[in-house]
Amino acid sequence: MTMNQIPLVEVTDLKVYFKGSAGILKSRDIKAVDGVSFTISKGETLGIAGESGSGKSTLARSLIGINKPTSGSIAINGTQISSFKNSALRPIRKKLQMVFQDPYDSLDPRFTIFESISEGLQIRNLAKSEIKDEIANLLQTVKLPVSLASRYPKELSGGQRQRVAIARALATKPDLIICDEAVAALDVSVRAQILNLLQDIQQESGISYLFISHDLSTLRYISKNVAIMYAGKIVEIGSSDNVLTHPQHPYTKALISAVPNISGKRGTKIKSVGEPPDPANLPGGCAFNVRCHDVLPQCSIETPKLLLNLNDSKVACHATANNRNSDSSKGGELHV
Amino acid sequence: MKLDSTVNRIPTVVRVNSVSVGFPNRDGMDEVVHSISFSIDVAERVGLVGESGSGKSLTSRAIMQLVPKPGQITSGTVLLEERNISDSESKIDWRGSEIAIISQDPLTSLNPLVKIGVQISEMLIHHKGMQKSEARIESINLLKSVGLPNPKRTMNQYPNSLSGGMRQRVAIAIAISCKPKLLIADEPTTALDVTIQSQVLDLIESISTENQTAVLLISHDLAVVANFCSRIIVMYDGRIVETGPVNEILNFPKHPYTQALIASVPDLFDTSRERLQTIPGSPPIAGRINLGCSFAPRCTHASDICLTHIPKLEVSSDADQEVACHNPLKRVSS
Repeated sequence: MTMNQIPLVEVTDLKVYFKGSAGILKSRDIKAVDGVSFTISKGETLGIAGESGSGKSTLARSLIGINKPTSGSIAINGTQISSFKNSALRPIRKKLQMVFQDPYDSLDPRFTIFESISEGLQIRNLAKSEIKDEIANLLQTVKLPVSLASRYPKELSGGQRQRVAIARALATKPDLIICDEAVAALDVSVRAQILNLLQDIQQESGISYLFISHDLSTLRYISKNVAIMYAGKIVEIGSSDNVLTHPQHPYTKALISAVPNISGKRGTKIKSVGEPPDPANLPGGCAFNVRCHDVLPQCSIETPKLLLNLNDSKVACHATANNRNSDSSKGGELHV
Repeated sequence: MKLDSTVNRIPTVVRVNSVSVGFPNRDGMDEVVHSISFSIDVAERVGLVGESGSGKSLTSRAIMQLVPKPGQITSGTVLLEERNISDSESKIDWRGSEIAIISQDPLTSLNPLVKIGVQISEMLIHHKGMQKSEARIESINLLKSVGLPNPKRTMNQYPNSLSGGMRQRVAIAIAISCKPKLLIADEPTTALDVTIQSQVLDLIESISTENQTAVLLISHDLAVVANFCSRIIVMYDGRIVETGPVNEILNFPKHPYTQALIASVPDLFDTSRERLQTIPGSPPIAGRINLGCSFAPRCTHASDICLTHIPKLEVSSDADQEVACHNPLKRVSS
């Protein structure tokens, strides 16, 4: 995030719209991602939290070019890729890998583990003997016995399969791995193993992660920075300590208070009413205004901007901005 | 049983007596739930926790006498208020009316071709002998009580036009329509968003308090159970390894598995960023025959006896907590 360093990933005002079903008068666009900006530095993890339909998966998919952006820019290592054609994307794509929720869906059931991982290695133009060594290396990195290479996905446990998916992602020597709910389907005891493994790999190789999860506790553990998405927009972003310990946005507060906590004590409970909105039919102004406790008259008219807060996180909320203006004696970078 | 009811002033709703569940294999039976016993009191909220394959869902199906075929209950009995419901005779009148179940995905438990109103009314008509018009009014009340914003409209809708949270509310309305004595909730919020999860849990909690309904909450998520239940049962590989009051279990676990399970969950309010404790290996495959404790291969406290003798579930020195372990953890006073 410092000025003298180009961030690994720089996303600016990214919009991904889908054509909605045509109504009687005109079709309405589904704004899956609507004006999202963030950066990820080398060796860092950005966590993205949000409920279903908040656009977090669409955002991830647009980074690797599965969903084409409607507007805005994506820069990887300073290179703009959002306008690239598929062929031009290729060399950059191998620097971006993805690990999905269910490795049983993402691994080919007719490929052995060896074959699955070697696919990724082909891009690197390795000789046959090198491929064998490299696969042994990769399996070691994800702490699997090399003997597993000749097995098929169905012979492995869920945790082992997810390790294979990580090994395969690492095969192209990526700079960034996007983990889309990568531990959501795993048992609790296995989930902790995979989270620790991802951290070990990051410490050794300086890889960056974009970690998508609906589970705030997992994000707190794995990511340095965290962004909270609601209805296609980032409503709060900053260091996970700031955002999750001192949440500013009413939605972040509601989300945190809804998380069941193992110590059995919930903080002050904020009852969130209603449900996440339909992306094809968002309320005007701030999309959260219909569920919000701190709603102001302007919230249903004007969309709040994402503005720097006193504690270095950015928040998109009229009510929070008002509070901050009222105690401006404390100083801090304010908007116009 | 008589003995127990004199000790406990609160009457028992359901008692599970040494129930085993097996699946036939080539030369006999693979037993996947091994002689499980526990009981649930009136209005008590009990959490059944375990990883995949631990037998928690099969246990709940065994209470309902609905073990999926070809599986079957191989031994043991289930008593509903002293009545043996494992006999095949009395099935239909208690199922749904006295013990009801909410499943993980209401889309699979609701009939996609039948209007919501009809699905609720048929419970009332069948079990309570209501007239159609009477059942309709009661159904609207039920939908209102589970917090659906427009119950009259919902009556005429099909399940697919509702969101996941709304569908789960409908499933809860159906489950409580006959005021059951026990509500089994099998991962009721796993498919839901966090804010909706807390709404649904609050709803079940208030229903349980209002109607004096006992709840058996089955979950892989210790945090959900910690907030909802007064007592926890921890299962591993088809056996109960530990049971007791929620605070005791979470603060002073006696079984190494319970302790490891608690330590492997990241805490939202933990700023220390300490490395998560992990349990080596993965959960065992159900149905394998073990000589000793099936957690022994993953256990840091295992000794020789653990490999040769299956530990029994015994009352520990602290009241109310039972543990099945040869080397239970000592309570550390802080």
